[in-house]
Amino acid sequence: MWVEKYRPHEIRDLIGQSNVVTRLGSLLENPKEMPHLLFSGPPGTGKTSAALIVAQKILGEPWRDYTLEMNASDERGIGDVRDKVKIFSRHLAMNAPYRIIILDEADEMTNSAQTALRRIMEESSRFTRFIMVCNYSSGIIEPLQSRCAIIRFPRLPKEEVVSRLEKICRDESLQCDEAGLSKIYDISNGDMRQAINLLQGASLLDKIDAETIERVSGITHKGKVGEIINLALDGQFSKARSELIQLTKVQGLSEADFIKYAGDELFRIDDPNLGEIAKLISEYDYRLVRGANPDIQMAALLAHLGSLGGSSKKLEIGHAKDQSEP
Amino acid sequence: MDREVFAALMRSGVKYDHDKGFMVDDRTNLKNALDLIGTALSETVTVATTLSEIKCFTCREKIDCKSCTYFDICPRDSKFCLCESHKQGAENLGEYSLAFASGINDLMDGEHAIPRTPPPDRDGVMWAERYRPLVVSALVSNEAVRIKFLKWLSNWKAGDKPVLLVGGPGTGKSTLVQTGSAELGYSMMELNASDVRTREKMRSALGPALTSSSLFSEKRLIFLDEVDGMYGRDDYGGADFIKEIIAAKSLPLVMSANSEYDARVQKIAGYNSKNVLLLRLNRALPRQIGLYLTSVLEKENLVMSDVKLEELVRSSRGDFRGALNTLQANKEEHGIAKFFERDSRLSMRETFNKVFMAHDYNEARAALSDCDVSNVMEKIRAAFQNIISNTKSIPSDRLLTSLRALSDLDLLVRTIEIEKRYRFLKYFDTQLASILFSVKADDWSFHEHDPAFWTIRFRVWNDSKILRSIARQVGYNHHESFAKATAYDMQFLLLAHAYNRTEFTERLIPDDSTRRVFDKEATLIRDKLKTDNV
Repeated sequence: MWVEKYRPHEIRDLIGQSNVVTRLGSLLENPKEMPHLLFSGPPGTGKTSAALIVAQKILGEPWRDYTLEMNASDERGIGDVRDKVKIFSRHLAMNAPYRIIILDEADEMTNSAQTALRRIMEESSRFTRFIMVCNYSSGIIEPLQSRCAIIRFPRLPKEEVVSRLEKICRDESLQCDEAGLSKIYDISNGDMRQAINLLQGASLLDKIDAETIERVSGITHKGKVGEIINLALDGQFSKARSELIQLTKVQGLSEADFIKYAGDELFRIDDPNLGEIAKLISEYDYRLVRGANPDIQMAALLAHLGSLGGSSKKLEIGHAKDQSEP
Repeated sequence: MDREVFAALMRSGVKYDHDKGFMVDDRTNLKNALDLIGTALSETVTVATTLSEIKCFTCREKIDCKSCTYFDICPRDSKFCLCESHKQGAENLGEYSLAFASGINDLMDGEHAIPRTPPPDRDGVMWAERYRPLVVSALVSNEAVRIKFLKWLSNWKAGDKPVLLVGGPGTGKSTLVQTGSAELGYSMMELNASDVRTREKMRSALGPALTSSSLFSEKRLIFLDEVDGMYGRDDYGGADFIKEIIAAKSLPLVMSANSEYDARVQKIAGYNSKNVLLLRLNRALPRQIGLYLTSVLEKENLVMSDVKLEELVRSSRGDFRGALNTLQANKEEHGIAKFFERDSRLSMRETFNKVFMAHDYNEARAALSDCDVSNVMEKIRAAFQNIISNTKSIPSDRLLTSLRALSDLDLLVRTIEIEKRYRFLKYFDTQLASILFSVKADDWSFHEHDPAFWTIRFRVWNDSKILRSIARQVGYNHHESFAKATAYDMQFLLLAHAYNRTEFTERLIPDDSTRRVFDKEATLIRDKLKTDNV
């Protein structure tokens, strides 16, 4: 996939991050003195790529052997972290200064796991460096933050994303128009990963213009989340629910993620009830976090949205039907 | 007639009346009786009566007595017979026959059976105490387990495993330990759930015995009753102390619990056979309870109609103590003839069908609290599935209120579980009943599944597993989480697959079943894009 093909391999290739590029550049000049790192910033701004580049540059050829990549949203429990990290960080690396542990989406880790990490980081600092990657540094407990050099990745500016997409189009010898690329930016909200995925999706279908991009975005789960919320607001409870069950039970999107994306999509709604809808979504997010039965909670959310609908204009995400209106 | 033959006849269930002579009824072991009479008269006797129809106590199916394994030893106690399938459901057959042959004989004839007249010092106490067996052989049923237990205790030497006695309430766990230790000359030190069992309390109660047992000639046994009643916080350190005793193996230790799968029991004993000797006491059969109660009634000089007795046996569900308590309670309050049900439990299906047919809210609530399933989460789930299955017949505002109320209730239960404030569960049935009663219609019937899930269940069971494993692989390749891979990358991969750009997907498809799933999902996505375009 293009997301992998066009992943940057040099620090200077990171787009829109001039500040980060300078700071990382100076760190790499003297790798022995590198502290633990904490990368924070919105999705798709190059955090994981930067972490991988740092590992490659410091560890050289055998970097894969000396790097442990963990994704905290998959393995968020204390046991996972402790076992894996402990075993990995036990031995000194041969012909490399230390081992590197990349902890992606670290803000998804439970508090107890983070607390445990604190000790592990200290014990293993002779042999290992941690690079923690997160969206919000506030999701990382203070003691961990204080053990790391924090590097913030700002949201990518539109020009940079568009020019990068144009370059990809040239490399793949594709036709593209300005409006299409601009639409990609709007939908992906500056997330480079999504942007490249959309571009590739659109290239499979047809020419890259605003309309195709809009259609393609409907196939992402984010698009489906929007659709389901539309159905619910429209009062089509049963249909919304059966779509939701397909999404969660077959495709494996968790209910918590559903709510997360629903929250992300809220800004697209132009609706007098927006405040109410946002309140509902946050409330049911809380209910899910409490560990209640997700089936029941989601059904209640959909029914509730139905009662708010009525006057609301629908979400406009990848919803081609809306375009039939003049 | 010979006195011995007469006594044997009585034991076979033959009755004697001065006016009418010998009488037989359903309970008579005819074959036995005829043999006895035949021996006495030195010739074969036949009787022209037919056996009355015998039905299974549980399912009311007619039983063919002739084919029954126990026909020869059967006392023809037709009321409590079980059909073959329920016999197997109740206990395994070996156990059944043993319990049959010996348990009953012990009870009826054994030297040490229940005291013929209650000893004076046991007078005025609860029947469950007064008629508690005094010796192991007077216990009813679970013959094999009793033998195992006695063997374990009589052969006990330092270093042997402790025993974990498992069985439902009133199956005789405590009684077995009490009688067994008394018979083998052990003095029993007992701690049960009513004692505080913190580490310090237990040490001071048991400590001297643990450390200096060899100084005494007296043999000691430790009995920890209801280990599943130990609570982490209140009985602080108690579990660890028990573990120490188990490890020390310096005294015979017996623990009892209702189930070996309980988390606390597992924590303490570890239910595998390495650490403990697991002995399971099965619930007594209806027949055994019936005979036991009959003999108690005889000793108390009371009568009870067969129907009432049957009802009592049925509701006891193999719990001797419960049955005796109910018997006594009803005798004291209403006279024995008036008897109400102890607890007749309903299955989930019966419960909900009753709720749906309820005329008022109280009826619905009563049905819910009679439900056999005590797990509140199961009840919420069942309520949810039934509301969701009937969405079409519920007005949307009503649907919203009920789902919202269910969601609140669900949250409440979780909070109760997290904070361990189980006292608040008492409001549960009331709330659930009010929710259900407000939406239900009389023609509803129980739905076991969520229809939205049920229609796609094969996709969930088969395809979903494959999709998830691929998403995991994609997440690994793309340096991102499973959740992100599912939400974005998978969709574009499938899209590429649908447009025959197989260079992206080929490496991810190891076999044909995966390919089929991939093809199917890809087609779904392509079709969706097409319809959106139209």
